[in-house]
Amino acid sequence: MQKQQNKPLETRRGYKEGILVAFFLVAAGWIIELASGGNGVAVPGWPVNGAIFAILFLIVFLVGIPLRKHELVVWLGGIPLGLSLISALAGLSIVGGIIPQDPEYGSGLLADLGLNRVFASWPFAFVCILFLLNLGFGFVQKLVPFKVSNIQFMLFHAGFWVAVTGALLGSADLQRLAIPLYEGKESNKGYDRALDSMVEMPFSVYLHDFAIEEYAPMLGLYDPVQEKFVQNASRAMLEVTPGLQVSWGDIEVEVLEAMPHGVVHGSGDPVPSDSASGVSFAKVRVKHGESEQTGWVNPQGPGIESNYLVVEQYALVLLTGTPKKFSSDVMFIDKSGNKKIATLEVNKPFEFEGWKIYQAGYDEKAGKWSTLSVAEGVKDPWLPVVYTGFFLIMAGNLMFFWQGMKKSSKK
Amino acid sequence: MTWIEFPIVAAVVYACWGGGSVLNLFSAKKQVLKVPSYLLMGLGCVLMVVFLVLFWQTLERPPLRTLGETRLWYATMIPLVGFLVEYRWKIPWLKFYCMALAAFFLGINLAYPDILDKTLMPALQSVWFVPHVIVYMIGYVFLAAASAAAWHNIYLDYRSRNSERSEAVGHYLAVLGFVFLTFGLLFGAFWAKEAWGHYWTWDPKETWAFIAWLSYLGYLHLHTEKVRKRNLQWYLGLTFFVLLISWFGVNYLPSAQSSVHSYQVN
Repeated sequence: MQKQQNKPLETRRGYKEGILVAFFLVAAGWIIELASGGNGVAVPGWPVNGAIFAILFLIVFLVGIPLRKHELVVWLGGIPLGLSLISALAGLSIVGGIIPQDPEYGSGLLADLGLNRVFASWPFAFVCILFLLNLGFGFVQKLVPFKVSNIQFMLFHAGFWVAVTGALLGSADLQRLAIPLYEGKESNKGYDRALDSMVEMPFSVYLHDFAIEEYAPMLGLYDPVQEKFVQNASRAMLEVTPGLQVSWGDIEVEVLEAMPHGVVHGSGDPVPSDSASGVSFAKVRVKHGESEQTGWVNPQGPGIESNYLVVEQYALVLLTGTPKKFSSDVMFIDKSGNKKIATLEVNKPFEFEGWKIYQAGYDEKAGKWSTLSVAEGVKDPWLPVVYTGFFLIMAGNLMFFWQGMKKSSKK
Repeated sequence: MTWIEFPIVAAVVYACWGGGSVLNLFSAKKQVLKVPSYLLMGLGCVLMVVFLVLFWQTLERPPLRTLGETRLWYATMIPLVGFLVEYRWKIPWLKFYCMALAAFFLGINLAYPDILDKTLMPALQSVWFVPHVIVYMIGYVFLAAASAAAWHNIYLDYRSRNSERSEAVGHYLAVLGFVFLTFGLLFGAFWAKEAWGHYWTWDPKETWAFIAWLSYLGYLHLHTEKVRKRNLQWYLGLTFFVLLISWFGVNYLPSAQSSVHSYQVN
């Protein structure tokens, strides 16, 4: 290699072939896409994907180790092919990173080549398969003969191999269900987007209560002509509290009273209520030049009309605070009648019989009055494989950091 | 501290870095200027740290949600890498590039002022929020410094000057940056699993983070292949732009409309 040092890459041994193979794989993939009418790759499910994993694993060791000095195996596990495939992978990812990845998006050649679902397309699959062989053969080159100095390399490459293989093959067994839940009702059905149909789950979920906690409401000055909010002088989103003073140019607003939850009876002033039935109210005084007005503003709610103050061409409105936290009190019931009570919250999923259940969404139009909570059920039997890969990469990464620091201190 | 005070703070920081840099350049001839030059440049960094701390207090949440907020961290940390490199490898010029980059990011914040918003959406309320973003910021900082080193090496190369030592430093910075980039990517995957149900969904931000990671992976392999010096430095210098796309360029791409990674408020 030393002799080749100053040659351009494409003229060095192995590179021409690597680049050609990468091109060929992508082209062949696109031809298959065109010929097959754009259905993309469907990874086979268990146990076929398990068998493929085992076969790939065995090829790496049973072919890679005995034939590790063979020119073809050396090339297959070498950097020239690796760099060619990294470029191909990056190129396909750039396509997938620019074109919206939605099967509904685009038409004509773009859709026929599968550019709107690149990561499930044949070119991507071909590049990935050869990439896994490249990683695997590269790995065994460093495995035999064993050297301590190669551990960092091996951890990184083995981890990447395990994670990518597990993630690609495991995607066939991944189940993600959107589970609509209504307060006071029990359901055992979830919508599977991959199958585009409702499927039955091995357990049912009863929604006791769905609750939203909101940030404080905010004052806004709306310009109906420009259809946008005017920026206030403090360049801040202001939470409404008594005594708060805000200004928009020469329009000065002071909050006199704030009521977190209230209702209005008839045409009188609002009266405090519980959070379930009321909306937030604020009594404000607006000064603009010589004129001054005082009044209540509030957002809309069930049976409550919104109120705003007209200032010049603007409307001073009170906006409902954005959601701070939303959660569902649920009960899981399995086939044999075992029950478990849990609270689902964003970032805090709950595990039940091999499934992870997430708080996903709710009826955003209804806001805090939503009686619908959307949970997500995920079953990913290959997760431990992928995470094993991740941990190997992290171990290699720590060593890389340490090596880098050590090397650099020598200089 | 809020965005209202930011322009004043930024102006003072500019003055510190600018003044300090000028003094530092003259200190080659006048030794007596050396200490005040470092004090002045250091003061700029201290001011940034103080602003960040007070800003965090006002926000009542980590200032890591909007792009404007992340630029503050970047502007705070990158000059520190410049000083670290000077302290450790006795390479004085990197700090000037670093301060220039930091000043550039402060400039973006001045040109496109943010709005102070204390809210933090439920998806971001996680133990992963701070480690994921901070690790990424540190990675970006190292890689920005690496690309600055690369540009300097290209310049040295055109002047036919030896750049062996600064090439080595550029490489170490790239290695450190890659390590943090990898941690950031994996922390993000762990977090996504907890928040969105799956560790990887090819969301545009994820895709571009992956592309950036692949680009630096390419650099590391090109480095072991001992490609021509000048080409490698160009590669390292330009790869940073891929990183910039994954940092904020993504927001301007057609694919971004469906991204779950958008925390910007209009």
